[in-house]
Amino acid sequence: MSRRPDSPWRRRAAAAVLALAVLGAGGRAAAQTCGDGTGDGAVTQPDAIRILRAAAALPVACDLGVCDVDDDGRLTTDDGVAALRAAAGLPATLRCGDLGPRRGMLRSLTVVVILPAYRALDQAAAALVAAVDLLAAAPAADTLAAARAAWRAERRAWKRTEAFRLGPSETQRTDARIDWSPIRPDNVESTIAAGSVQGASDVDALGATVVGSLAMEHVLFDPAGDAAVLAAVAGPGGADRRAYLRALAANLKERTAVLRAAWEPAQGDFGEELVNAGLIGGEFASLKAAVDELVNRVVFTAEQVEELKLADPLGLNGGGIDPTRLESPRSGSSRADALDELLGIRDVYLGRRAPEVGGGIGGVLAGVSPALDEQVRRLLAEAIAAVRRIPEPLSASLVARPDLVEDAYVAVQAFRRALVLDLAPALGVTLTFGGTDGD
Amino acid sequence: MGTEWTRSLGAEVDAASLAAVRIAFGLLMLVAVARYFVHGWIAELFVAPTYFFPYAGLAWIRPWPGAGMYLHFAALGILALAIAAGYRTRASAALFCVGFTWVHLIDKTNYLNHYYLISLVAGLLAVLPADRAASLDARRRPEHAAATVPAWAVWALRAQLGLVYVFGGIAKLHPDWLLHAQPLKMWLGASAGAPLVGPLLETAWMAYLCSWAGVLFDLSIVPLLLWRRTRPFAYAAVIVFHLLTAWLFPIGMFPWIMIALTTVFFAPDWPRRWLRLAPRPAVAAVPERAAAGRLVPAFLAVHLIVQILLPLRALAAPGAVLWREDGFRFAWRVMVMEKNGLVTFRLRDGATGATWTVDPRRRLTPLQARMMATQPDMILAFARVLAAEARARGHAAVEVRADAFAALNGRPAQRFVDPDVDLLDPGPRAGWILPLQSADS
Repeated sequence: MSRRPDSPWRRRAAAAVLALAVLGAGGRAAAQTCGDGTGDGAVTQPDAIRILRAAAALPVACDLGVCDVDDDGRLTTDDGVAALRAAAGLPATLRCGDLGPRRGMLRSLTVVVILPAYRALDQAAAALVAAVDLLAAAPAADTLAAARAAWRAERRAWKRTEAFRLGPSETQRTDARIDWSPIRPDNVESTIAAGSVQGASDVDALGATVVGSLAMEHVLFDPAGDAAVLAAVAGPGGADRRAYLRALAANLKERTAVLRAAWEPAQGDFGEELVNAGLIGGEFASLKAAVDELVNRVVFTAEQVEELKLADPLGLNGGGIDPTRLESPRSGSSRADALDELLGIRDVYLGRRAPEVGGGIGGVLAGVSPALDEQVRRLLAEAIAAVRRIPEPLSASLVARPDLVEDAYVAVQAFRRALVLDLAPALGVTLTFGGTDGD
Repeated sequence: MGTEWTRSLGAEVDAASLAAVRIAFGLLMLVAVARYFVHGWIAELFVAPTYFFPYAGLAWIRPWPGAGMYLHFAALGILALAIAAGYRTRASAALFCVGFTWVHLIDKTNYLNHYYLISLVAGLLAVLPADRAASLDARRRPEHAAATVPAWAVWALRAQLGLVYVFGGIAKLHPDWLLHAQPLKMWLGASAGAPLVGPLLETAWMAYLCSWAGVLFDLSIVPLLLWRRTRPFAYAAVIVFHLLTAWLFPIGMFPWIMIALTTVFFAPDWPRRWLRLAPRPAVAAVPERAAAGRLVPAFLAVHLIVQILLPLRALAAPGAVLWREDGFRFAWRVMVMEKNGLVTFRLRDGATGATWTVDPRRRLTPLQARMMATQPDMILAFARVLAAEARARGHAAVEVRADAFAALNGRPAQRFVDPDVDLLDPGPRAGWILPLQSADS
């Protein structure tokens, strides 16, 4: 081999590498025109209409990389209007981002789904604190009903975040503190009886099996009826019960506030770390690691619904029908739990959270295989519909309509199978399974 | 011609390159063993599982109890160091070979091509005179030291490595690889976030370019390394190729092992020239030659024949190899497939009519469950385990069926195993493993 530093082959090689790099950096921009949602090479009225339809969450494909013409991670009417102005030859600034499909998806999810979801959760937790305070101050049927409604709303908001429980949501171990399952009712009762929980900070010292949403459910709901709940809250020894309930709600609110803060742009801004995975350090060593984590979380959530929320109580894994294996049977929320987790998956997949529309995992998949994206959307919709068909409470349906529960199980399983066997390979996602190296 | 070839193989050549390979291999194995401790793989792979998928006839190979596996790996680390230092080299290499192979015969789950290569290279170092130079053995026993080794010793290693590349290349002469650029299309796209070249990796043409370049590399690198005039360029290609694979894919030590071992294709005195050491003595001692006689070369010849035949056994198997995996292992089908599967077992007591399902993820480690889901022999083995457990619980007439789905190289997922076949009496493989529906395989 020649060792001359300026040999012709070296110059040619360097030029080739440079050309590849330039091509790589500019390849996408050259291939796509900002605002050209139809992909015909120019920004025209149909492009604007397509963007407007996408912004209205109508079923139309519109790649965020060309349709989000103000580069804010959302598809809005503003994008459509700007495209319309450009199509009409009026002054308009079309500025699409150059993050690429995957980073663009992560940013859009942060803006459109994750942040709004944690804000909603935080608000729901605040409403729960207020409702529980009212109940504690004046135990009565109406305040109990209000507290239960607030509890359900908070739980639904939390379940909706399961599909993107990553980053601070995991490192803060919020799940173990506010949604541990199963709790231990005997321990809850003995904790109340001990009278040691008088404020939110006391809750931090307790184990996961006596805190959080399901511990609150134990206090707020009773198979014996509302009167039993009110009697326990208002009767002799009720002070400790009320204090415990208030402490749980306040602690839950504190936890959700910390979680929200970790994602808020003005505070922890974890979304920035997520979008710039592999570029600025932080939890994810690469963009692939971040996307892998997100897809794995979605798969895991689907698996939880399939196995823990449907198959186990139905006895498919042995043992026969067993309503005690449901997650929240006391309040009759088990079906809602499953449904909300699936809806959270839908948020992440579609990149939508009403009223906002952005780009999700499905958008990236559509860039690889539109047919596969269509299939996954269909299976997800079928899974959600199948769970919806189960009458609440799920505990009763297990006995009365096991066929519907099994249908839901089969539908969720089919959806998860598509995630694992089709979506993950198509996106080059490594599903978490531990183990060593490949090949 | 034959005589000349035999004479050439019997000629004495510089021992330096063999010593360099030995040292590099020992050090790399030390790192490889250390990774088991650092990543927690000993617990994950050998302590946590409650069931292991044995190779046929080797179910007696089990993990050591208690801290035994940790001690086992610690011993492997010490042996790796001994190989590098050349301390009781052949015994160390033989023990390392046995110990490393034993570990990986415990469970089919853990099969990797490069682990197989490690066992083979360690085995070769146990019989080759890699201890004659740059070793503690040579210092300890000067009468054993020599500046030369028989040429066949160097050629044995070259042949072993050559087979890895050649069969790796042949495995890529496949429509998935050549016509559909799979699985690289999927794998490269996942690295779209890589600095500078990330957007390129997403493009289809890059996947095709890499696929074709990969197969050309595998099939041509051996002759290019052997020819003196192309060797420097070929070795540069080896480095670039393996560094790229190390960067893009999680394949652990494999790239580094190949970069280190392919130096054996250089002239045997390359370390001496590079390190500007004294030239080897004109008259070299060959103390072992008489003792070894023709036994070692004969053993190596048989070994190489077996190494050629093993990958070819897949030709005798019906159907798509990547799908059915008959003859997949020990055949250097490196990086040629992305295959994912999911299995649920359905059990039925024929006497009572009771049915229930078993999700293997609840019984196996995540890695075991994933590996089993794509490998028919492991599915069958686990079905038998479930049946044995069911019988022990009183279900004497148990039947086991599987809802198994798999997706190969970007194809849509499809049923993998006939859901109506009782896996306890599956009949011929052609029946219970459903054919791959897509064309080209």
